[in-house]
Amino acid sequence: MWVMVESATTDQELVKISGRGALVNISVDDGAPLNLACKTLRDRLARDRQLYSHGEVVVDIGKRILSDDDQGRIRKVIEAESGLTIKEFWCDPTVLVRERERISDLMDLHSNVPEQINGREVMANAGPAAADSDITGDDASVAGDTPSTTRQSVSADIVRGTCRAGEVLKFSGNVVVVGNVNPGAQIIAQGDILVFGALRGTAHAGAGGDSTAVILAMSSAAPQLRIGDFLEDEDALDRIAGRRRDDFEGKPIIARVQNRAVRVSPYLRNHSIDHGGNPNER
Amino acid sequence: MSGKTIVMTSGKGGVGKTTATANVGTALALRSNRVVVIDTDIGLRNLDVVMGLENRIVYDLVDVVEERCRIEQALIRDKHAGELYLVAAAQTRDKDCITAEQLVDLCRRLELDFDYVIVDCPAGIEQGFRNAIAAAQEALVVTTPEVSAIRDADRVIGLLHASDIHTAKLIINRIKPEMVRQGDMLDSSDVLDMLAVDAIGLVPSDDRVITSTNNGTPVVYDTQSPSGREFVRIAARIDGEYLPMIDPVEEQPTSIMDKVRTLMGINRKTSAHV
Repeated sequence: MWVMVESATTDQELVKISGRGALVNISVDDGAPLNLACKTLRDRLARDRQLYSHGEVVVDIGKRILSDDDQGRIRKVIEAESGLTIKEFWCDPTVLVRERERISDLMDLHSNVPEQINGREVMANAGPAAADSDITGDDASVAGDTPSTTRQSVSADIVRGTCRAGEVLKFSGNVVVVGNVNPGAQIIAQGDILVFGALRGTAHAGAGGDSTAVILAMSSAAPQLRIGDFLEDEDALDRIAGRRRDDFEGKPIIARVQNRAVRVSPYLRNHSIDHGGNPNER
Repeated sequence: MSGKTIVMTSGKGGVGKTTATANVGTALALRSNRVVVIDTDIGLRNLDVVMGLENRIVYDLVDVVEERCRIEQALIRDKHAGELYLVAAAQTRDKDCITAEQLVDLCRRLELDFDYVIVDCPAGIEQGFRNAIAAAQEALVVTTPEVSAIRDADRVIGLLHASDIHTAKLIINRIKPEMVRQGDMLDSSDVLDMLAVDAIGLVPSDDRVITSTNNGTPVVYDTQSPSGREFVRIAARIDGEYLPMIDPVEEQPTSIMDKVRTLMGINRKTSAHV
């Protein structure tokens, strides 16, 4: 026995809320600017608060790619305006193809990409950027939120110069290092790490737990690469321990998670970066 | 007269900071500069021993900063090298008994009277290191072609940058040409590539350094010593002379080629000698 609750207002196009037993499904329209979608969602939940006093909810974000911050905004709205607990976020698998293109665009430095990269010099020990925006504010929608573009653009911090021993550089998103990362330096990013130089220090991509993140480097002798909650397996670490890793003879490498361990392989031109399935299932 | 203060540092201990300070200081003085070397390794002093001046110490660095004597009283004049003076470290105190401001003040006063003030930095990156780099306008970073020394040099170069010293120059010490040729030791170009700084000297490993240290006579006096000759060239480079870098690894096998070059008028080695 289940009850279907369908919206009859014009908000219908932006946010759909349906319920089945104790499981509620919220789907957000692909074209809706995130601010508007959040506002609509909040109004809807507030209006029918008694309907959503308890239970689990699955949020379908469709073809959208949400940053951790944006995901947090939706989570905040749902937790503030209802008694629902979020079971999972779900997205359309086809967006993962676009993720691939996004990486190869960054590698090729396609002519219009640099303008979209929000570059800044980053000092050592920089903390994660505070991103606690007010959903009722009329801030212009961020890049990637614009309905008309067919491709999501992403931003990345850019670090120029050598990262030296003892420096710890932290980023809340993606990072591009134009220079070497020396032994004893640490790069920690919640997103991807791309090094246009030799990666000889420690790198941790997907530091918020995102195991779909990748590490790319022009060459790597890094003692340890971490992605999400994973390391390389024991065999690989034993092989590297105490020696310089030059498995790939100074050629570009890509590291990603496969079978619950970080795998390093040569990065080839037109390499397909397999982000592998629904990231929310990891 | 307004001289400059140069700090000799490395991070790691035992790579040759003190030896380099004594030799570069002596070589600069032999080029008719007025030079003072300051040992800031308080509690573990040994620059005085390397220079053979141990028995002349009456007042030391701590006596100066605590105003128990005038600066002139703590300046120990070298036996041989003309206008070369040493300010010795105190042996019975520790690094925390002077402050960076006190050392900056001392160096500013010495700069008025000397061409070069060379500060011999203690190992490590703690208070002693922070004191030593505070006064310096330039830095010489000493390393050996070993991964541990290079890592520490890298850290130190980063800390120097953070203290607004962007002109660090590298001395790669104890290069063993034979090991480099066999691939058992890092090549100096590998080291420079990783540290991303310019070299000011590539010093070959040389047993004569041990003898000269024990005798208290810097190795620059020994004209037969390959390391002594390189320290002389380093001093010349500091003094603003342009001398091409000579990699000890290439020096020996190409000696015949060098003779040919000399005959052809490309007089690389002769011009490099001071």
